[in-house]
Amino acid sequence: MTHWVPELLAPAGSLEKLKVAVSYGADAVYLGGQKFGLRSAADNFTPSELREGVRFAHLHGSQVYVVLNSFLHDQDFEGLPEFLSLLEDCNVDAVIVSDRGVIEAIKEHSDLVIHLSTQASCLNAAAAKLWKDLGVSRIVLGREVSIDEAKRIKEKVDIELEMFVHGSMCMAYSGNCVISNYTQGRDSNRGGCAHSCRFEYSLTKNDEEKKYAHFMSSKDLQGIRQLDEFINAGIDSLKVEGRMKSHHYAGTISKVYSEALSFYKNSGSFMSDDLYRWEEELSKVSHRSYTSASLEHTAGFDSIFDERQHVSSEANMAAIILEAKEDQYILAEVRSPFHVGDTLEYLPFNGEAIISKVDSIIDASGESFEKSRPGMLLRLPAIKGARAYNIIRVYPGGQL
Amino acid sequence: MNLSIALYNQEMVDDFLSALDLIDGPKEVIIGFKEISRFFSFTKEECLKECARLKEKNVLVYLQWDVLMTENIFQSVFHSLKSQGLLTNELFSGIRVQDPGALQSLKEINYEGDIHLLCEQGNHNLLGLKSWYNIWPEKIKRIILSPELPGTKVLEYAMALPCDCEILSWGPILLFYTPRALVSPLYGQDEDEIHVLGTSEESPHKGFPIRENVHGTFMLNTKDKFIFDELFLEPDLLKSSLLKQKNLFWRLDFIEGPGEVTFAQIFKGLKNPLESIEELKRQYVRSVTKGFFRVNKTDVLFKKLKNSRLQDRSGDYLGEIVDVKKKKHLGLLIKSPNNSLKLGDRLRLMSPEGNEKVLTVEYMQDALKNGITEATDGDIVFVSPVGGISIRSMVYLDNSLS
Repeated sequence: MTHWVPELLAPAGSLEKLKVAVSYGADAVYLGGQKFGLRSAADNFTPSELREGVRFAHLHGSQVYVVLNSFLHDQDFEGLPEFLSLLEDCNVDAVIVSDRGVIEAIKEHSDLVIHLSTQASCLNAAAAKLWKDLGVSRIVLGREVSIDEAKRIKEKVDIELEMFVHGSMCMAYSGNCVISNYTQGRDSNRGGCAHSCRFEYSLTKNDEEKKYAHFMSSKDLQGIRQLDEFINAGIDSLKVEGRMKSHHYAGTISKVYSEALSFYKNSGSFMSDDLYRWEEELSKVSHRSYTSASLEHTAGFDSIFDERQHVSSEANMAAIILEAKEDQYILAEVRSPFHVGDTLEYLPFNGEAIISKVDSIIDASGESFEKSRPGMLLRLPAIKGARAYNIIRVYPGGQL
Repeated sequence: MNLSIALYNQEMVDDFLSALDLIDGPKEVIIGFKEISRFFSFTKEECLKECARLKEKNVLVYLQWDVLMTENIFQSVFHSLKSQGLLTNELFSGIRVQDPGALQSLKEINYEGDIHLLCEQGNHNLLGLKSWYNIWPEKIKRIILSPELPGTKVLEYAMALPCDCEILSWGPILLFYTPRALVSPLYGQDEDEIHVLGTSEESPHKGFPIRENVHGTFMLNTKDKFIFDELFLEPDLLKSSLLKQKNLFWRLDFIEGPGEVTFAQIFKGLKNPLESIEELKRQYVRSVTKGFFRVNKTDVLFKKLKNSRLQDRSGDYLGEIVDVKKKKHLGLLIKSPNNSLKLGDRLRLMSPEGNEKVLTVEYMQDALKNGITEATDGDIVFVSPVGGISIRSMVYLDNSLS
């Protein structure tokens, strides 16, 4: 007997990251085209990349959702009907939308399934009812909604619900922040967010008492310990933030959460020693300190990340495997430099990592080096089970 | 000129009532109380008392419910508003809401008053604004437009929408709203309300007013919006049309208080703008800006499109160069599920810098230098080197000769 678990929805900032996330177990990915999304600085997908991404995801049983979550100005609608036709032609599974006008345009020009973005800050059952009546089939709830409240919403409104389970968070109610607009001339609701909330501010009270703090910066969300609550609440999809983040992030987070959900699917509980291993794995990607934010209780001051830098991760991504010839060799593209004597950790799509010491560094032409450099194509010894898009981590100095 | 005026405390109500006779157009105010409104200082009882005073003078009073609420609080507050009879049109002429949940709930109880829908966040297109209106055309009597709209759009929307429109014309601009208490923990004080000024070295702007209250933390712009000088002192066809637009309301919204300026001075000043506008601006407690009223170009700085040379994956696309070893080889990763590479094929290579080269594949090897005759999706093969071709170059089958 297997138990129901929610969909795991991972970010795909590029075609390669899509393949990484899907290969490591994401049930669905979300991505942006060259326009209409909120992450202008991400690589995003060209039409042909989108076509290939959907083909790859569907081949692996995963869904693809495309973000159209900008709040569009009138002139921004130019090209939208054509883009919607492309999405239908590519067989994307849904679009994620914030703007009321965009929803109308989608309904007029296509039969695409519409998910409401968290940018619309849907916070309660009455709002969910209204959005459902307007043609939305899934709601990504505002991050301020607790799991308990989401459960109540689900009980009152027959609609799919999606909640964030992991990643960076807006401090403001999503869609309710225009700091960038006024301070940088960049529209935060059209992909130009300057992340002013991450700055350090000096605060002055009554013309005197001065304090320095990153008081508007939120810690990152981590909901691995709340997975059973999500399941009990019947939340349909668990979303991981991070289209701007690395391959390492996309792969690690997808692997950890999909393993945890698979464990529950088979056992009906999360009572596993692996919980500690999953948490340890999550600490290996670059992140701010973690918080459960408002998943259980209203987020308090302990959810503020009063620091400038991310918590440095224990491991760097050394390389990504581009080709693995069974019993012969692996060709991997270097992302972070490493040395002879370092320890590499191969992260397979399923199962435990494989540890290996770097005895030599040989490029694709057979030349030896003491140190790898980013962009090099390396020939590594074959490892059983290694596949293209596997991630390889490095632990400097040989210490794991 | 249609004015809509927010009155945040009793002093403002008193000042407003003393200047009432100076208003030419509709006499209309916005009022709220702490449980449901972000910035009003009134308790519910005080709010009802002030509402009664205003109604005695034939002022139309609209209740502001602009706090965003998650499910548990929302249900509790809505039940409370309903059970206390605050959602009838006997007390207030109407209610102003932002949360679609509030709009939906009012619809479900068939609220009898007018609804003013706050569309100040996002909502920069007519298609969306019309569709908000169409949710309940019988009751949505006004749409409050985004303060970021330029004057041209304000006029266009007011002319196109079949209801009243409203725009912030004088008062602080809200930049940021979170339910989290961000400031009080830093000071270790348990105050109902705390005000600070925030400055960041990473921003050219200094002294953002930041307010924390029971509803969370709010950041305001360093300068308040003020467009009356633009409207009256720099006349043109647009501004003349805006001032004549009968369904357009201009909101005075002094969250931080009007300072030394009185409502009497404001109303008199708006009657004689040429003589008074600059003086009003000078007397006002804070610096002012036109914001985006002239033009909104907030999308021009960040448009980023991919290198067009790296985009085309259609038709004859084969893959990508992943390794370049001078005078030794090019490493080619086949990425196309539809095309394969065979000995003798002609390739067209396009570098990110724009170099275009042609190569006939005379030999192919794997990483162990074993000869290969065919490569398919996922394979990496090594072919003869070509000058000017770098990593990430796109590779196509060149069928131009066939």
